[in-house]
Amino acid sequence: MKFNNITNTRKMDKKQKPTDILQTPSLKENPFTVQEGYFSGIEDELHAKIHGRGSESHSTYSNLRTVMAMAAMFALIFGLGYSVLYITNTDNTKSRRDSINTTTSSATIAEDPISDTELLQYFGQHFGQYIGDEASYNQETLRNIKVAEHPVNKEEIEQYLIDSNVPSLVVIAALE
Amino acid sequence: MEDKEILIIYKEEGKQEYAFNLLVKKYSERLYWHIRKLTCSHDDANDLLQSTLVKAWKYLPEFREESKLYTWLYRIATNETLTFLKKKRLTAVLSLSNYEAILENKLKYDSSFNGDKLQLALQKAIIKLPDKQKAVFSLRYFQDLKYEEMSEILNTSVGALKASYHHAYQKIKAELEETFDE
Repeated sequence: MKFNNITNTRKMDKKQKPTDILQTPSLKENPFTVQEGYFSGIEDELHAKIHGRGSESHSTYSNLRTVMAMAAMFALIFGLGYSVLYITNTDNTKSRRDSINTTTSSATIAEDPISDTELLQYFGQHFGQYIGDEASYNQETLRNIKVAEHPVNKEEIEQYLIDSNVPSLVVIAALE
Repeated sequence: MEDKEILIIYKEEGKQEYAFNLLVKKYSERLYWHIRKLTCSHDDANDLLQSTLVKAWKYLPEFREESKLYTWLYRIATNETLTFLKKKRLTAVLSLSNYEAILENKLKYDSSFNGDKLQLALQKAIIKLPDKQKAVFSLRYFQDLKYEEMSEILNTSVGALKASYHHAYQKIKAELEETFDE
């Protein structure tokens, strides 16, 4: 009984419902058109494609064109990449070469240590006028160096200070 | 002529081309309209029909008659069209444009479209569907194919097709009602 009521209600709903817009007959009709004789021409076009007339040469050309375009693109990318690398490397090589040169000259200096005698000779030659006679300077300096090589004891210092007339206060401070 | 008869002729020596022509005559128009409704363009439909028939010619020797000949042809045509639409959508995305808007515009200025306002609204609503749902709706609504046949064509279960068609139908109906209630 209840089931019948539900069915009746459904039937009523269907009747009361507005018609489904998609059930409009004109919607199922084809709204598109084609040129007259189009379908009879399909066979000829298809024959040309199947037997490779016209279309194959076109497809070969388009394939070749695609391959050539790809090759050109790769060449361009390679060329650009190579140019960038070349420019970067040239800069690097130049700066590396500079640094190598600098290092080499530093290395040369470091590898040939200048002896004290050579240094003294150099100072004597160039700054002799400020520090007196070259020969006396050399002899005096060498003597001092030799003296410095010997250990100096306390008595010798005291004696030196007394001999050189250093003020008594300084002497006392030095002794302490 | 029945498909079976065409296939028998095709198997005879030297009659392949003749049999294939019979096939083309029988199905090219139906296939064309199926493709045209999915692409909304005569040029695209023509190209896709040609590639469908070329493929059919190429693979007909391998046809095992496990399915009906026309569902096999519809399957090739639908696959070709869906692949084409996918590519077009991708191209549109890459060029930052809306493919649906392009199709709508094409339809608006198509001189070969002779439909009324309701038919135009229907085509616009179909354009908005996802591609596969579009194919499901078109095969069922315009071509009146059975779900079993559609299942062979689209390689989808009958249940899934029924659900897909129902969704498509409701979407289009709602859109049309909204347009014509205003």
